[in-house]
Amino acid sequence: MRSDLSEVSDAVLVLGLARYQQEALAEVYRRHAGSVFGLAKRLLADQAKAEEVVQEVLLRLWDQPDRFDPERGTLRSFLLAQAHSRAVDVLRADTSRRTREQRDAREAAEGEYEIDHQVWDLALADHVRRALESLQPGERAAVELTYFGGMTYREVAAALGEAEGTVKSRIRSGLRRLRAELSAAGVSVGDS
Amino acid sequence: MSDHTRDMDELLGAYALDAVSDQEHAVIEQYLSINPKARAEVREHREVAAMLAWTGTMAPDGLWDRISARLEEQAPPPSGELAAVLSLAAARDLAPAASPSDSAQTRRLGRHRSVGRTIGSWLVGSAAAALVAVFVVTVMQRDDVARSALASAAQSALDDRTSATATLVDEAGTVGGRAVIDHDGHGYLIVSGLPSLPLDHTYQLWGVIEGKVISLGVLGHHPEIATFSADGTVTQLVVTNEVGGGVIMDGNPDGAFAGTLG
Repeated sequence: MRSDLSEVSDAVLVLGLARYQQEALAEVYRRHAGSVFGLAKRLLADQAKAEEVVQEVLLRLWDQPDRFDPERGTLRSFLLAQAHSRAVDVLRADTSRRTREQRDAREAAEGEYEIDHQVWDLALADHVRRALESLQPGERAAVELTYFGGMTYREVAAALGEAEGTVKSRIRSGLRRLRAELSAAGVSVGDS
Repeated sequence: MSDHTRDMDELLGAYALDAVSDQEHAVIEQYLSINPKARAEVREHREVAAMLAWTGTMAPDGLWDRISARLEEQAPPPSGELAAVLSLAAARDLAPAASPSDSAQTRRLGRHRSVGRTIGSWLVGSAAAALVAVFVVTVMQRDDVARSALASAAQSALDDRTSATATLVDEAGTVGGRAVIDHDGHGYLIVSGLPSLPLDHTYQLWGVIEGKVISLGVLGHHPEIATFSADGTVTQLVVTNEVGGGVIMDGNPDGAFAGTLG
């Protein structure tokens, strides 16, 4: 069964979920659980809680596969968005932890992107690293502090001493620039 | 562009990264419901973020076993309108009985297998099936604004000569509605003649795929317009009147509306 499912698209896998095929969920896990776990762990810095996030995200997909709409993006981005949202909820519910994470995230944003430790593919990692380097420093900090630090744009503005409007504009322009850079490098953003 | 629109657009990046307040989140969700361009932008932002998250990390050993165990101990509950219908059905003892030994499997397979059985014979001999992978299972009913947007999108699909259309009629020839699937696989069902059902009933949309019948979504008891998605060519569409989705019934469903796409 796995050999068959390993060849099918994510959309077909979700159709399998709608028909309650556990093999389909196993294949979703095989493809995406590592990234989901990695993102959750980076945000939460806690393996057990990151595992809980993976469980929640996959079980929610199992229970409600119709929440995934292929017209709104790939399954990968859907799962990562779900994981990110859940991890941020956990993070924001723990204010003491949040303070520490904000500090750590700020330090991380000021340092080098630890791409060598976190890559799935060296070529892709190189493209991502270059794309990040192409950002203005303010854009990069805003994107990293929100995405990997779980901060709101207002919190980023306070942390960096910038205007809120400036930060939200930088997040948007930073994401757009990343997309353009990756596309220019031949990376198809949005492929599952 | 109004100041409100400009403000909302400016927040889309932060929204995509979960970096807005709960209040802003709610306002943006409303904005997205009526602005396809903004939805597309958020989708693009999230795809970019997903690239950043591509960590190459392996999930820990044993995690899948724990998830799998959760699946075994509790079959997935139906959601949305189907859940509401099933709840009503259960309250009226309409749900199918199942032995403890086969209950989980029955619940998992019941919806598709049971209705496949009920309308399968009704469709025997239907068109040869070239076919497809149906992507979704998304059927939406929204507020007036969104419904208007859907109607506009459906009309655009109808105006596109590359779209496939079908008029759904019952055995008496009464027209229940018209369906259209555009070249990108976006499907719309525009209901015109489906009578309102009791609250414990629901209409359900089905597609014929390689001779098999697969659910495309639950429409509710009084649908007006709905969307669905399909990749490829669905040969036929059928709308049935279901008594508490998932309930095993004998024989063909009463009042089914069917149409062949062309």
